[in-house]
Amino acid sequence: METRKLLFLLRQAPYGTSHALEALEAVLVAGVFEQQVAVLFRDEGVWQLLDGQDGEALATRTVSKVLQALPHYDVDALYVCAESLARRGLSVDDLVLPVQALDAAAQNALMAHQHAVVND
Amino acid sequence: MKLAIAVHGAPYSSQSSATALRFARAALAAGHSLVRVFFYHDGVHTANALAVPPQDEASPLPGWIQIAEEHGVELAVCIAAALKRGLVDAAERDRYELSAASLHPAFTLVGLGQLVDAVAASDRFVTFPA
Amino acid sequence: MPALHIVNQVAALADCLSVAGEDDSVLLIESAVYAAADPWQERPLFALAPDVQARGLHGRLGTAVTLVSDGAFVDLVAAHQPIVSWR
Repeated sequence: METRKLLFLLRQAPYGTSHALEALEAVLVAGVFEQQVAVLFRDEGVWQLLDGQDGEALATRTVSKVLQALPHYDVDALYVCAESLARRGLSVDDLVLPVQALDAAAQNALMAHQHAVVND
Repeated sequence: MKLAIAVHGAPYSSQSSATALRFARAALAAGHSLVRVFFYHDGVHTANALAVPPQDEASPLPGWIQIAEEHGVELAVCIAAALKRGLVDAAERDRYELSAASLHPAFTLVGLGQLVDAVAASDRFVTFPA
Repeated sequence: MPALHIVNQVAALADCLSVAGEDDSVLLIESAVYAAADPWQERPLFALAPDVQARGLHGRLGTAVTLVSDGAFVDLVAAHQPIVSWR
């Protein structure tokens, strides 16, 4: 399989729908297949990163725990929209993983270099 | 140009599958090739052979079957997303001792690696979200 | 090569436009075509014709909106990379 630059754009909040978890499965598989994976969390998707989640309360997997597996799959280019964080009163210190905050121009530049963008 | 498509929405709940089908037809008519159509999330419901749509609401299913037969387009359904939504082929029906196979035989159950492969093997990857 | 942003819900358009670059193109499909009837929308936008027609918006499009057929949608995809969907 050819190695490509793939950006996963994750914009959905966890738990309310299966989109967050199912999209993360695809991120992990892209890592397994040794693609050049980057992940950008934006809009409601930044809630996936919030510390203190407990999926057991809803008899489901804890999304933040799945996220913490990403570095083990060689997925470590993790980005978050700075404005999405600020609008929700969040900072990178509230998140379960070290992620780089990007402004809009940097997000646009990130997208411009991708072979493809995969959406949740 | 080689194109790959992902369908994320269920028929009737969303336009996703119907819009993607029109796009696929237009792409083939323009001489592009379709590497694979990957049905993911609720998009897997497209492959449900047991659905009975009313006459005045078009189902995208016959259209997908047609382009698979006429153009050899691979209709790939994420197996993990499909099984938990009750979309099973004959092999999975037997494995889990279920009463029926619901997946239309024009579709194939595949792993997520086939999504990554479709993205990597295509020049353009287009997602039709829910 | 510029990106093509595909938006299928009105509510997602603002999020899309906050990232889309000036050279990028934005295509409204499905329910998002209602945003094509916004008279205050100044950014050039494409809108998918069958979705506009079905919703009765033909005579209500803003001046910055260009209608595209399914075939022209394919041409837009071929002329842009990557393709980014927003819902």
